[in-house]
Amino acid sequence: MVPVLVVGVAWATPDAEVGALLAGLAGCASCHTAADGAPYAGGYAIETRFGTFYGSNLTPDPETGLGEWTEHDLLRALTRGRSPKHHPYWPAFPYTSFRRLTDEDVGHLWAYLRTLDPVVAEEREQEANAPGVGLWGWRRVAFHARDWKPLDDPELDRGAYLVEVVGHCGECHTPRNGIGQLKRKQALAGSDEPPHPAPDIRPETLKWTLGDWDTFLTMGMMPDGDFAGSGMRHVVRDGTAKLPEADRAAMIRWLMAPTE
Amino acid sequence: MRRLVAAGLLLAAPAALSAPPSPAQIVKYRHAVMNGLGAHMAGLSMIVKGETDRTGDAVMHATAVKELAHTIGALFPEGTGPGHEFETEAKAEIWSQHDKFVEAVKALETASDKLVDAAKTGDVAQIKTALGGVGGACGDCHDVYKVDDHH
Repeated sequence: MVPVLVVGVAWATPDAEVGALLAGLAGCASCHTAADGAPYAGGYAIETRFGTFYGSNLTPDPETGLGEWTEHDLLRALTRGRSPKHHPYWPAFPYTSFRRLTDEDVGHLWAYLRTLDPVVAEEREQEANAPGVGLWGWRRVAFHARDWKPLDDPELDRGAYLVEVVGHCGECHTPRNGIGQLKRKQALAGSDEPPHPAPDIRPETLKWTLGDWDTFLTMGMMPDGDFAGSGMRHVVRDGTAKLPEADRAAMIRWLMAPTE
Repeated sequence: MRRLVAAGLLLAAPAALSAPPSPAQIVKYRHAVMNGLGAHMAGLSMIVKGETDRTGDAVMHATAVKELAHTIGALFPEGTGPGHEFETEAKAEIWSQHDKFVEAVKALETASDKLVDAAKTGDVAQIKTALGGVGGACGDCHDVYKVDDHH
């Protein structure tokens, strides 16, 4: 069992540059960088109706960051929502989307995170307004580990994976129920959820052309010439604008595919 | 004719001499400017994407973008932020971190100057690059200082 796992991880050569693109699209820095703080050193406050949560230090500092972590620790955190000591994370960290990241991409992300300069920055205590047992119950009901199930069409598959898993667009653009669970049947139908209310971006609502989408994902401009605010700028500038054209095209194809 | 003009001035005079605009009026005007800016940006975007053959309009759009961009700094006086009876998507940070906001507006002004220069060359590739610069400035500012109203 163990040798198989080792072979599995070693199979794809981890590439820090690919990891940087993935981290950009995943917007890791947005929540893991405090205002005027060092990139990825944590401290940004995410104010939700379940409390205020602070992004942790992702730099390789051994005491306060991920210096002592292994790649498998990152895999566990991203896809199972658990710390190296198996403590569950509050889902302000969107492992509900990242759960379907491929091992290969976690490898790329890990390679990239290792290239960051270590910064000493103690993690701030999370300020949940529900008891920890609430998190345990929530996970029982709302979180199930899942692997990515590829679609038949490779381009559509790539697009779906980048939108739903890496980009985790639904974490802001899909409405949530009373316990904060995404209403998956209303995927990307818009949400008033703090901290970042986000519009309905389903194709039948937006009616954007391919060109409209491309302008938006490369520059942030909507067809009426307005520019997205409320955090979307980071998604475009650090994420979609930097992607290889083929990846952006794949995302657009998935975003334009009619909702079932 | 002269009498007609004089009569026109008399009619216009009460409006011109009345009290300064209310915050609500300032916000309404601000929206008009922003919408205008957006419309010209959308026009330029269609030109660089080849979705219109009106390439010759680029200088006109770019000039409008520049002129409008240079008015923005004056359109956010104190008292025109959130929490009043009028609707605005402007965030309180515009006034609480005003120096940074002024810097962001400056970045737009500089980018819009470059856009006019690029438009005058008539080279679509250069216009595209400069349009990206203006777009970046728009986006940077909205990201921090504007709430997205999606209803």
